[in-house]
Amino acid sequence: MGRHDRAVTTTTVFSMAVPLDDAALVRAAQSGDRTALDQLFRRHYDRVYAVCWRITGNAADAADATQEAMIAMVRGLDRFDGRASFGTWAYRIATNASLDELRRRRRRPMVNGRDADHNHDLIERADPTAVERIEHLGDRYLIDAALETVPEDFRLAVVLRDVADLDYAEIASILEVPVGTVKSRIARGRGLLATTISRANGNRGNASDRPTTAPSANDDTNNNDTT
Amino acid sequence: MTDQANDELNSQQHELASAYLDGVATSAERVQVESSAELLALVESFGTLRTNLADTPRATSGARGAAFAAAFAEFDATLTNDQALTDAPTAAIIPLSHRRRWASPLMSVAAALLLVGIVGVAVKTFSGQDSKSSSANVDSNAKIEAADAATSAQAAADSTAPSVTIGSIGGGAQAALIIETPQQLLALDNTAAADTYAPGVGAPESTAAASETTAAGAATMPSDTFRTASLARPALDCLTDQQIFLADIQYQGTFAIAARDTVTGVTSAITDDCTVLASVGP
Repeated sequence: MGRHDRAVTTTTVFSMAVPLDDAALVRAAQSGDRTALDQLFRRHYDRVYAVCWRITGNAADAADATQEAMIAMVRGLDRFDGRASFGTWAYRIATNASLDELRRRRRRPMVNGRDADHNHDLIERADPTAVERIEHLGDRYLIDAALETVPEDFRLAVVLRDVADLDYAEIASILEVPVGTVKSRIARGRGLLATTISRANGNRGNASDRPTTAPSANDDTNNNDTT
Repeated sequence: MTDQANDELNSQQHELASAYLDGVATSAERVQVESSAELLALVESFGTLRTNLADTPRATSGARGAAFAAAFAEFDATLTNDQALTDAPTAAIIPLSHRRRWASPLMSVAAALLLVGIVGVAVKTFSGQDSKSSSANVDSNAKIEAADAATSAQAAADSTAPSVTIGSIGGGAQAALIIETPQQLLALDNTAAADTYAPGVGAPESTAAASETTAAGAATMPSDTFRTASLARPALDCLTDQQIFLADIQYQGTFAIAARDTVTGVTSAITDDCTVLASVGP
């Protein structure tokens, strides 16, 4: 579809009192409607960024991947045929952009900015009352660190399910694997994450204060690790 | 229990809990999960994990703004390219009409000037080559040109002139104008301008031109065919000194020549045996 009939489509978008669904916005954007594209991006930006964050593991790479993904969406907008939802299509692009970003990152030297304990100590010295407030931040670091230990195939499946909120069929379409494989990868990925986080919480010595995130079947292992 | 057995058991438990959490467990699997405190705890831990995974920090406004700016810059660039592609065929058409609009009168004037120049040079050249000819011949040439022009104009304007078609002489070897009525014969007389042609004299260029001009009002006869046919016709010997040859014709189905009396203006259709098939005066 060409993008030279902008005036007509813009009028249509502005004349609608009810927010348009993604499909209508996509059609308008394909016709050259800038406003429709803006609405689409505003609707999906946060989740696309979250997917990129969870795959790349840090804000800078996530921002780069998200930007690349949005540019790729613009370039591919004319080819989007609506067979899948815009969200599925967008997360597929975001996933690929994130993986590209990871590959680029592997080729360049990087300073480790994820030393949670180091950050914790620095903050505690600067503002002792802030420790409680940053516990949640610590959990985020734990999640990020745990995600990095999970094999990429499992990580992608879990992120697309738990962050992008896609169903198994959509994930299977994005990852180009059978639904059964998706189901297995999600389960294994979750198990690995839960185990890793449980161990990390045990290492921090305050596991009893946190909600249980590890299966009880692994408790013995965790206890062994901490003793 | 071995580590491998433990892993297998854990894997099965993870799949059950995971499927239960995502709402894709079968009814049997749901019963199995709900009857096990261990599996329910696992489901809860996976749920907590999901919540924590989804709880990502928001992008900074700078990163967000940069992403939107980059995306819309790409969008605008794509849009511009699309419009350029869309406009491209139009651009190939519009300038052509523009060019025609301004070029038409200009080119017409230029063409007219060129034509006048060529005619002038041709006349001058012809006059120079025929310097030994008498002034009468020069006048004759001028008359030929004038006659051509007049005939052309008349033929073009004479839309009411009876039309004639082209037949053939001698089984198609030669062409002849098919004349069915005296009016057509007279119209032929009106359009033919072979004033300078007479029996025994080669048909001048003006005669051939006259024949083609005739066609403008009615039908077309190739000039070469016309000349060859006329010179080969025995009927030419039947013409008097006052008569001039006009054209090979097929008058009401009979092959003949058309000739005009330069004194009386009467046009006749004459066969090879000198039979006058028809005579019509102005």
